[in-house]
Amino acid sequence: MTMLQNKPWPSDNGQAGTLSQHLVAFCRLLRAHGVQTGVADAIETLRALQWIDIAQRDQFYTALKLLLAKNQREVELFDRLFWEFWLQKPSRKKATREEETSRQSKAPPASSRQKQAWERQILNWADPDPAEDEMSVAGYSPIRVLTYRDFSQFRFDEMQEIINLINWIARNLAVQFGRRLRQTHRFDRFDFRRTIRRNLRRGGEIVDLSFQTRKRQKFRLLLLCDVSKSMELYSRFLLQFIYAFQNVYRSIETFVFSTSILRISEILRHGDAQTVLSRLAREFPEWSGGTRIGESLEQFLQHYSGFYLDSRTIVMILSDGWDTGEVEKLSCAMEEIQRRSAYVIWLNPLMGYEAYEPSCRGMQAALPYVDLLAPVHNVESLKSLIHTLIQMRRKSGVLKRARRVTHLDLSIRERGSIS
Amino acid sequence: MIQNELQQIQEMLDEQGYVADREIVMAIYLAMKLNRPLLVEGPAGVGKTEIAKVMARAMNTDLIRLQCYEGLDSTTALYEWNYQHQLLHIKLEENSSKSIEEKEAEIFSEKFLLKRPLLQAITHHQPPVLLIDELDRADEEFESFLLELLSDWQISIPEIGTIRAAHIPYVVITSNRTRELSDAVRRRCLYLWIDYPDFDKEVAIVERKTPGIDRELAEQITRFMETVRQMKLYKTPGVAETLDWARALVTLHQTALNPDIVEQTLGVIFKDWNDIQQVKSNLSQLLEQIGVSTILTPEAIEKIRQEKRASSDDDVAE
Repeated sequence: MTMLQNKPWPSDNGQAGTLSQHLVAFCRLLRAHGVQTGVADAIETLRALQWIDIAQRDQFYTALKLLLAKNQREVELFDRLFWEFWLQKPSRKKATREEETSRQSKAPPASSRQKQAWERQILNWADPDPAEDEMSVAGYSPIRVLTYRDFSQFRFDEMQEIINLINWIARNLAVQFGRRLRQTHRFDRFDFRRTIRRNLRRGGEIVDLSFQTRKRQKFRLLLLCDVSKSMELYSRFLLQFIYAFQNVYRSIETFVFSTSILRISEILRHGDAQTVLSRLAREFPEWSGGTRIGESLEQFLQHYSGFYLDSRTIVMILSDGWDTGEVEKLSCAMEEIQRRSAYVIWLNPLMGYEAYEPSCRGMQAALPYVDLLAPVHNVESLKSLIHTLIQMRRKSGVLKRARRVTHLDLSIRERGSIS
Repeated sequence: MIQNELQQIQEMLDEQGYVADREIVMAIYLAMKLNRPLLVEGPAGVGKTEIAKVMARAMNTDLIRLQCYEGLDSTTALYEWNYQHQLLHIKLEENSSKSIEEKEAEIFSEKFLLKRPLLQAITHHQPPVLLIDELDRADEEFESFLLELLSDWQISIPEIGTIRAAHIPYVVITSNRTRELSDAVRRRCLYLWIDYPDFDKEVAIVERKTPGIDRELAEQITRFMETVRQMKLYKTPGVAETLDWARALVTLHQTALNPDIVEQTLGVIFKDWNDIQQVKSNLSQLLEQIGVSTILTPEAIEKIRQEKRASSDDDVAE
């Protein structure tokens, strides 16, 4: 096997300027496409170039790739952009520079201001244009009135409260529950008290040592969000919900599904709410399409579950359970999701509707594999969810799987939150 | 000159029985020249860990390995005082005339220090290869701790003081992507993505690692693995499984694939019951695809008939 093919660069490809200039321009191009390269990377790459023979195209290519692409996605992007850039005509390079500057002008705010920024974004959403809202009301009639009322309940000042509530849920679900120390045989931290006590019977001769370690119970959050037509009424709220969640806790993964599934964590992490919305609409054409929960979840299990599902993961599914796909697939997928996760919470906006029973086929199929079923359609429901979570935590210290599914709907109705 | 050095690395890897393409060679070369850690990602069983092992052997230095797991902390990764030993020492010195300061200095001397991999790596007498295996399994706190070490190359132990690295080790970090590593770690490293090898490379690996294997069998095995990797499986088999299988077949004195032997040895390749079932039910098709004749014995035909019947019964039940 020959290691390197001796393919030299074309001696003159019509480009003026020094190599370092081109390199910086290339870094900019990468950045414009979402590859995170900083000035330091460019400098480091220049430094690396002295160690290779840049006349050898293959060496140049692999060295740049090793230094500039930092994950699998970026490797793929790099492969595409590299040849485009280094073998292109000069005129196109100018275009990318323009593209980059225009992008910079709408770049998301600096990290210190980012938090405020997304909160502002959510607040902006909360102030809906009534005409637009009315237009977006469609579909399933008995719920329509209620939904409309739900949305009218989102007053400007309530939004801050919602953000706070979501904040609480995200932190308390994901961050470790136990802080108590437990005894251990590993050399973790030395337990002086127990050591002395254990050795008292030997008259203070210290022979046995005790150690302790921190009880850990750290969870990851996984959000699976139904964005099909039947959920469209809630899409505004849903987006607020997802967006807020993603921003308060880092180790959360978000997927949207209708007839297929898409991971949107990355999209949510970059850019402001409006960009996110437009990107989602563009990249997920199934938005507001039909619902095939079973197929979508199956797809999730096939492609993503290895990375995103384990016994420390709390799965949150946001869906009304209206499924037009095969119900068997749904229950199969749900069974596997429950088996491979720590806890499954199904948040159903339709449950806010008084006459609602989880009787639709999809919900019925999924129900046996859900640990907690709760409504989520207004502030009260969020509060009530928190209340339940606190109680469960008090009881067992951690979220533990009960044998039967916990319904949250009754408490809501009794409180009369839906007036 | 550069060409020479690259060639040298390639040859060293070859000698160690590691079939490396030019990207891997370049990665090792640059990691050494720039003194930067090498972050290797890719599917399971493509030889990520092997890179570090081979590097150590090729450079004739020691390999220090830190296997990450959830809950890994500094006492298991860095250092620990040998409490028992210390207490015994105190007991022994109880009646000596040494002053308390002297005793204390003794207790907290290197004699009672248990060096864990990271401390071992920076105090080693020559630059070792430090393999931080499956970093994605450790938690984020450990990751940031590691980041500090990778940039400063020093460890401070309150009782002794700061220990600076005598030699900066060659660091190889591997990740299976069960969790995304932080950008900070990525930025500090050279990034190498290893995918499943292409056909020629995998044949070469099989031949290299399985002495006495037929060229034809090696090709058949590789083609079978390539085809199987296209299927939607729960656990896609890697190169490690290819090698296991090749060895198993050689041990069984096989010179070519046939349906029976494949079916009997599927457990070597697939580690999940559902996967085995799925492959079994498509086996004849799979083998036909890779050009293995599937002339069936009467018993096998009968068996397939039964299975067909059973599955069609299932369909009816649905």
